Amino acid sequence: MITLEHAHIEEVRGIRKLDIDFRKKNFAVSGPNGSGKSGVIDAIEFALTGEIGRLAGRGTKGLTIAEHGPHVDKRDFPNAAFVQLTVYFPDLGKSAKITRKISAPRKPKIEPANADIVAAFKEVEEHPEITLSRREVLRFILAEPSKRSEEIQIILKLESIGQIRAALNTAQNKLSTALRAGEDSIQNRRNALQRHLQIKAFEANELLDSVNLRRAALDLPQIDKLAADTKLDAGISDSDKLPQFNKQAALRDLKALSDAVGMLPTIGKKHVDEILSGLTRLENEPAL
Amino acid sequence: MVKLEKCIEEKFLKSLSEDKAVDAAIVHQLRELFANSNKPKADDFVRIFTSLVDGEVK
Repeated sequence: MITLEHAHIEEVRGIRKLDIDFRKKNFAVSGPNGSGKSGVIDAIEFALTGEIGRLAGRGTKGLTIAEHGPHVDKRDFPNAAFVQLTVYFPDLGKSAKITRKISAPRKPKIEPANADIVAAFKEVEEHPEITLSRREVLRFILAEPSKRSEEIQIILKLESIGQIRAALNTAQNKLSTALRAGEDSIQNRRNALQRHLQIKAFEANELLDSVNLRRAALDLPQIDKLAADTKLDAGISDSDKLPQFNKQAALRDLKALSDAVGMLPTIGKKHVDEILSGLTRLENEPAL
Repeated sequence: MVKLEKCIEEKFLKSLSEDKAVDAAIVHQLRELFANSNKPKADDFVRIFTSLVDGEVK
């Protein structure tokens, strides 16, 4: 938080030379269109940040502080255009002057150049949202209530934060849905396991006792500790490995089987002939 | 990222790091995501918040 004590503006935007005594109080600037009201805002913003928001952003391609910051009559003399602000820092209990020329927006002169004063000005410089143009204020006032937060984000240059918040909300919804599905799945599997193991409570000890009882019946080693990756059926089947399938071997086996099936009539012919011969003898036996 | 946004980002990460329910690795990954991406997607956050393996039997 800072308050302004005084501003001296020379050859900046539409202002030739102007002194304003703010006295650390609220201050209103009024006047007809084109009288330079916004120029005062631009000059204060420039003095504090080295930038003029109205010369940047959408629809301002080709505009620069060097060319469009100075008064039109001093466009070729940017060195003559400067702003000097006297600023009061309540936290420090000190006042200081900052002078910034259009010709050197990144090299302000700070008096006194004490470390705490310089640091305080540096912090102010890092917040370009400190000045709002009439267009920005009107934009906020005219915004629908449901979209006012979006407008504030735009005014404070927080569009990225809004996008990140929307992405976080979407992520939260996705994760909540996945969590509910996961919890349902866990409950179903837990119920199924509890039913199969015939245990009353789903507790590690009771579960292990029931499992080990069954493993003992199958002559399998006991499980001492239950962890997330414990396999209760370890030793019964190796479910991690897929059964290996050898196509060539399978084809060979299939051919051998087909051959064997084809040989069946030949293999049994001797016995069939013997049986038929025996039946014929029996039919021709006079005693029968 | 603009400066005020950077302040908000820092406060967000600080509040997360002070939350015992949030793992430090999550905060670290979020910090890296914000540093490397101007427009993180919802799936980026989903990937980070599901990156930790958990589920020991109690």
